[in-house]
Amino acid sequence: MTHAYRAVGWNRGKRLYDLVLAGGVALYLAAFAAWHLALHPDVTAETILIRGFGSAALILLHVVLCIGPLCRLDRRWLPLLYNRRHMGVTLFVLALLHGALATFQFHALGDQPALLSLLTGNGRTDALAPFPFELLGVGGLLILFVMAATSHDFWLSQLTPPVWKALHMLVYAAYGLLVMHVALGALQDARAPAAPLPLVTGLVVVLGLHLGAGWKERRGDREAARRAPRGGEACAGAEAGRDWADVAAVEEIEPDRAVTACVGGERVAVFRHAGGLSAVSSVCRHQGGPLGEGRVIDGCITCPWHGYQYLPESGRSPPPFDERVPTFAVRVADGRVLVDPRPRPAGTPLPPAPLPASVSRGDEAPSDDEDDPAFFIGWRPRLPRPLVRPVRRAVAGLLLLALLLAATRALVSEPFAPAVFEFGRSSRFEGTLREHPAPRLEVPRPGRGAGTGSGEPGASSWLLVAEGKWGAAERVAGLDGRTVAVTGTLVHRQGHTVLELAPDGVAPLDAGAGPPAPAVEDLGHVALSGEIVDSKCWTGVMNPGEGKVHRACAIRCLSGGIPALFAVPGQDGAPPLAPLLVDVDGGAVNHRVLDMVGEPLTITGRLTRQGDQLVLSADPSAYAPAR
Amino acid sequence: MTRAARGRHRATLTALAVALPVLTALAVAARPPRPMASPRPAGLAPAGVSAPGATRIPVAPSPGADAPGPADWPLTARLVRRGDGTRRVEWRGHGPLRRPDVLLYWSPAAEAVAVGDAGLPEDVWLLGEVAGTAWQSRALPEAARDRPGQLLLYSLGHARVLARRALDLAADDGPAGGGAR
Repeated sequence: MTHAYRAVGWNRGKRLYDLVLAGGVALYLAAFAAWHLALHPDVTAETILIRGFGSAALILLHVVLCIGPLCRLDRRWLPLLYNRRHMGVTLFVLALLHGALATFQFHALGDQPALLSLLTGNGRTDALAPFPFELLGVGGLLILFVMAATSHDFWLSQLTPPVWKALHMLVYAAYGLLVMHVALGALQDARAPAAPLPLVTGLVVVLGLHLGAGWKERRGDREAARRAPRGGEACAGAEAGRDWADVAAVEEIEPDRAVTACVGGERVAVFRHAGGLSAVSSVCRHQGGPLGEGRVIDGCITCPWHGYQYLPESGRSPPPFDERVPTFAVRVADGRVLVDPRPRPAGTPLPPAPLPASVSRGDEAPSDDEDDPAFFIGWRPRLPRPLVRPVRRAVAGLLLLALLLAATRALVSEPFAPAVFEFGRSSRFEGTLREHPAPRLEVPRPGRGAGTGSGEPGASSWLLVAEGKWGAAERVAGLDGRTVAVTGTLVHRQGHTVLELAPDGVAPLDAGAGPPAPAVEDLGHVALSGEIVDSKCWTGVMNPGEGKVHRACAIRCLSGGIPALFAVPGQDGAPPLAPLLVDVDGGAVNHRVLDMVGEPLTITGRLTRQGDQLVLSADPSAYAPAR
Repeated sequence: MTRAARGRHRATLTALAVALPVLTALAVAARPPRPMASPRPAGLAPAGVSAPGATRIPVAPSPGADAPGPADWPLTARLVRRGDGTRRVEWRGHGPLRRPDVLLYWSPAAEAVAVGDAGLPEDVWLLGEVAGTAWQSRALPEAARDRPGQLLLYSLGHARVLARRALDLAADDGPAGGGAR
């Protein structure tokens, strides 16, 4: 209950809850990383973190959404509801980490501010497959932020419970957005038949539980309405001008318990306590919990959700607390309990209706936990004994589920390319610099047999890029054909090599002009199917450096001048082909292909080879979707 | 919750229960085809094996002579003797090599070339790139007719000899079985 606003009103239950929650998240993240490293040795740390945080947040969102209906279906789940807001805040933090890391990874260090790139980088809203799934994630994250920021009881009090509750109903909008964020994002690159299974299962469980619990509540409302029909014919002893509602026989109400009836269109709880009957609104002032399913403890009606308490005769929380609920007048006539359907202002004291002597025997004795040993109150120091085993089982089940989901996510993940970014390892190379069609270094291959008619080029061509999402054209301008020393970091993938230049990493050597450029060999007109990628990420700076999830990053990289490649998967054991993509005049196509990045395409054009550098020349307007 | 809130909740979930499965199914169905099939251009097809009928001898590890160890030789290689006496080497990778710019060399040296950063001898002969798991084939130089030599796996990016295997041309001339060491 609220008395003074503190960050968290800690008690043993909350500490234990948070400890299990933090342990569960840590266990999931550790299992996620371990499974990925075991099954996918080429996965990068950034990918593990981004996917680990994202999937953990989504799993927690499912758990949060399931707790409510589970409690309505079975009260033994109530201990999980007690501190659910901490679970919600945890899931927001995980989602924020996922979003922040992904935004930095895919959008930062480029030619646009990261947030601007996030919001505008992908403009393909004309079809489902290329739809900018990132925007759906942003929408979901904003809702989670609003909910996490207003989760404290301070905001509940300031906003008033109805507004707060309506605001927090936005969680369903967030759920819809985040499900589609996954379906139009990660799932677009997943080819394993079982890949959609975890998401679909989650969807069925969440929606099934909510619909089941909702229909159960609806049935309960209808039964309550039947129990207390409005109108004089059903209310014996009705006063003139007032239709008192007949809610139950006196004997139906157990000591320190309530019956709930639908009176005046809303649920009213009639409690029997200390030889009298009192009626209050069944909607807890705190979060709308069902007071009628609570019980009287220490002389107070106690809400089963969070343990908020009210005095039966006034609907007021005991001092120093100040929550109040509406009260209703009650009387007994002919053994029936009658309730005046007109609510009194919240906190209005009304005298309890005395019970007939025939049924009031024993009511004076204060109730104790033996009456309902399974009744859970979160602020009590110990969990009721009958709930210990079910709660332990539920927690163990959830932790086991987390481990299984971590393994499943790794199993259904697409294989990662055998690509390496030698981050932190700078090396120096000498060779001949070529500016066109893209900056590259020709590194002489030692020994004989190369470039002597054997078919093996005498030098290896390594594309040059700058740091971040920038090309190297400006860094090497004017050095075409010169012998240079280059310092940088290698990126390599199955025979393809890229060198990320260090700052001031290009120095002309005294040797001056290098050997002439290799002759251009025409390999004829070809039709290749693959996808447009940026050479830096695809070769290994990111893994995966292709597909839908990487699309935004590739757009940023190409926009920053990193050479565009057309990545064609290898077949029958051959390594992938990745010719440089240029237009028919040999010029860069980067800014003309941004809308087509990361999509399956068929490009028909002229394929040439200069040394070991392949070049595909084609008019971007003739690129066609792959069939 | 109030009855009205419960009603809104029910309506929201009913709408979600209709919309989300449909949208998810559409999203799954909209997944683009991957991987994309694309025949390799004729000029870029791996050289593959050649000379049907030629004698093919597996290049096997020689305990004590090859370094660092059999498990570190990531290729399957065969020595091929053709009818005209010329010799070729065929090879295929066991899997992806996580080294930059890996090249296969033949060295005529009789002594084992050191594996490591010492670099390549000057008289090595480039056979080709090593990438993928498709068979590739290259002719050995004339000098290989009467010198056994050795195969060297070299990373140009790391300027490092990654592994070596000794060849035994004499065994190649004998009955099948010994072949190479």
